[in-house]
Amino acid sequence: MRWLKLVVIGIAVVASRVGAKLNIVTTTTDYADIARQIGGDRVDVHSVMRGPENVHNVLAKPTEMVYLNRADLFVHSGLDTEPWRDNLLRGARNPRVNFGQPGWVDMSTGITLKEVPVGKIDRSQGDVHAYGNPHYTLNPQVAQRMAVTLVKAMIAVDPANAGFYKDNAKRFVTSMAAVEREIREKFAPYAGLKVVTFHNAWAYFADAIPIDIVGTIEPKPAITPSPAQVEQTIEMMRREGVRVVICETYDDDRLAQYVADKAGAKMVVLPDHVLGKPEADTYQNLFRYDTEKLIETARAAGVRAKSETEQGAGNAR
Amino acid sequence: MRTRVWFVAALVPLLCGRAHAQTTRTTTDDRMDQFERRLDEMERRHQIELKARDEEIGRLRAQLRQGGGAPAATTAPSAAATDRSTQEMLNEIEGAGPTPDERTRGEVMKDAATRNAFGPRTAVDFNPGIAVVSDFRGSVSSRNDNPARNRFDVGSIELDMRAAVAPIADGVLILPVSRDVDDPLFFNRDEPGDGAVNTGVELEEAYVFLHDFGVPNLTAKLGRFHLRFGRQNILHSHDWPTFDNNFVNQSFLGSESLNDSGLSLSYVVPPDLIGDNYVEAIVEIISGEGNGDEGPVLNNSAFIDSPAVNTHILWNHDVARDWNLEVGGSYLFGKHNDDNRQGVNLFGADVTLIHTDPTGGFDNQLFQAEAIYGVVDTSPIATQHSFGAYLLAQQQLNRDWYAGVRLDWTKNALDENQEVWGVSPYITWYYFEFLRFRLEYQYKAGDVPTENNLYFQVTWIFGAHPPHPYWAMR
Repeated sequence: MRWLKLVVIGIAVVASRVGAKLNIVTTTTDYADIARQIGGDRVDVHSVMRGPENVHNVLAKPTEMVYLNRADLFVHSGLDTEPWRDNLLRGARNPRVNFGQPGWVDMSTGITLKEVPVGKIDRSQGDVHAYGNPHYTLNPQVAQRMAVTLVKAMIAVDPANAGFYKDNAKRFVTSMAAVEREIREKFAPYAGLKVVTFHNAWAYFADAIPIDIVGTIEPKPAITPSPAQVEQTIEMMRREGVRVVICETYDDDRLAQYVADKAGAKMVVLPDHVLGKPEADTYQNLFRYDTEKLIETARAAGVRAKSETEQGAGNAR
Repeated sequence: MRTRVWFVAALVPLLCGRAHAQTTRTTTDDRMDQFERRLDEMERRHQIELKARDEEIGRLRAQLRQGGGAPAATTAPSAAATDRSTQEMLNEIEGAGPTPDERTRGEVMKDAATRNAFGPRTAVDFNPGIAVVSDFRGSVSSRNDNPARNRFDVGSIELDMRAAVAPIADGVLILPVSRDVDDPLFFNRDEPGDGAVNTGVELEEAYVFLHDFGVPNLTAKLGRFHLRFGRQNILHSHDWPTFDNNFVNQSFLGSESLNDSGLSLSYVVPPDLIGDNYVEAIVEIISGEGNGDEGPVLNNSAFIDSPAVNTHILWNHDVARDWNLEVGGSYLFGKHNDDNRQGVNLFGADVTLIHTDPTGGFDNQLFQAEAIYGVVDTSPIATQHSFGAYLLAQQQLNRDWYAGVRLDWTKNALDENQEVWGVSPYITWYYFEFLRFRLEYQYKAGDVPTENNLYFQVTWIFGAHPPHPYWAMR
């Protein structure tokens, strides 16, 4: 009799799951967009981050715990990118998404991290990240790898929709490959463009399109520069011939503008996450937007495309 | 009949929850229950796999009906349009199964090596996360007869240690070493303090936090901890948004906080049942000792026959896209003295409203208020009915600068005829997350000598400090 009861219970639980959408909570909008593109209408996705804010300083409000409380998957950077993540996780009281469970999705899996500190690290290096530069989402190839990680996790907890997820994941991976080619070709005339960024968030982006990051306005991660350090940056930009300053949506654009003005450069505010600007409403459009704005800024700063330079040289001959 | 079957099926998960809870309480059938659960799990997975297989067969049949063995052009990527790494990833997706990949040791090592995750493991790796918080505090006051307000010193060094002690539990230990001078809220000029510096080590918090012991949405603390009365009482002193504790908490709970030993249970009501709202209920059964001699109202010397009970309930809601509201209510009852003839009843209400910059910038605002009404027996024949409140408003100016003001007014919890009020504007500068400077002016008046105080505070942290509360904006 007890067996019968358990079987009925099991059937009821399975029946209650059939047709239910997979609940996915992500720390950033980037993971959320991948999840939506893979899961389509068979998933409910919620991102704690909205897009323009600094991923390191998101308010992990109790209302976010409501979403995480019923989540099947919690998708995050896996690194020390989101120091607020543990507060959220503890408050959510959802053992399905705890460390070691299938619902805990570490998107850094399989990604070769840059700038992994070697030797002793401490706070004299600013807000140094112990595992390496955590801004790995700014690269189409990395986005492909993250899609593979995520689709595996989705299939593991929702095998009934495996075929659907796989098709969409393949489409996403193919799409990102096309985007990578597209932005690389578009940016080719400006290959080697020297830029200064506010925060050290663009190292992985520089692998996707050939920009040369010669420095950051922050002397060290999360440290606001002193006036003397600002002057040093301006001097360095003049010396190196840097014509473009990139400021992230959450950093001090007035200071970035000041640095650009003093150095005879142009400043552009670029999103480093999906929805950092309304135009960057998908992962694909994030890269398209950033590339187009970078080219626009370079042109405005008087940087000539390589073809124009070659043409000019030909005319002179 | 069909309706009845579905009704029964819908009830079954609920029964399952009850049956499961009862089963875990017993120990005799544990192994049998585990075996049954494993069988159920296998059955569930099997059904899901069958369903997935049926769907896959259906999909392939549909493709055949469309006249080709290859996937439809709209759903399948072209191999020619992908480079080698992309193709590898496509293959990996195709091979993904319902169970997580079994990675080889070599793969794990290679992956971990890129993130510096593996080094020689020693017993030291099991040491807790340790943080040291130092609070350097200086003050200058117009009242020279208050020795606590005309000095500078390291107010406290706090040792914060945390680590997992079991899969279901974390351990927390907070040990402040403090150096301070008695600084009563209701300073009496006729009995000025002697200015003696009190140095000592306190056991501020030491508890085991059970975060996953089988009852959904329920957590527990067991040990000594800050009581969940209102909003700011749970903060350690270096986490206050201002230099000193708000007046109403000082009057009713303690100069820094009300801590006690016992059991704290916290339950989050399943959001699905209450319209996706966040409602948390806390019940704490404590010794009733409070902070001993330093506790203004709750101090019964920890007699086992007179425990105190604290309850708190809070509701947190996004009232608009960028506005978050938290409303809480607290009630504490216990004994004021050792012979259990003097009772304490404290009623609290708190509100926190946060506006976050929709552009992702720094234009963030915080508004917070707390009020306490106390009914405290100060003798077998005298009962004090006192009330107090504070209002805090804070504006973030840019990444590193914050400015705010706190307005205080409170009666003495032990003397309803005595009151004090104050205005405390402040400015805070974070050089960095772990190094903070604060300057605060305070005007204090009422049934105490009028004071004009200037405070200066430097707080620095090293080690593995946990994240601050969400509303600290940092």
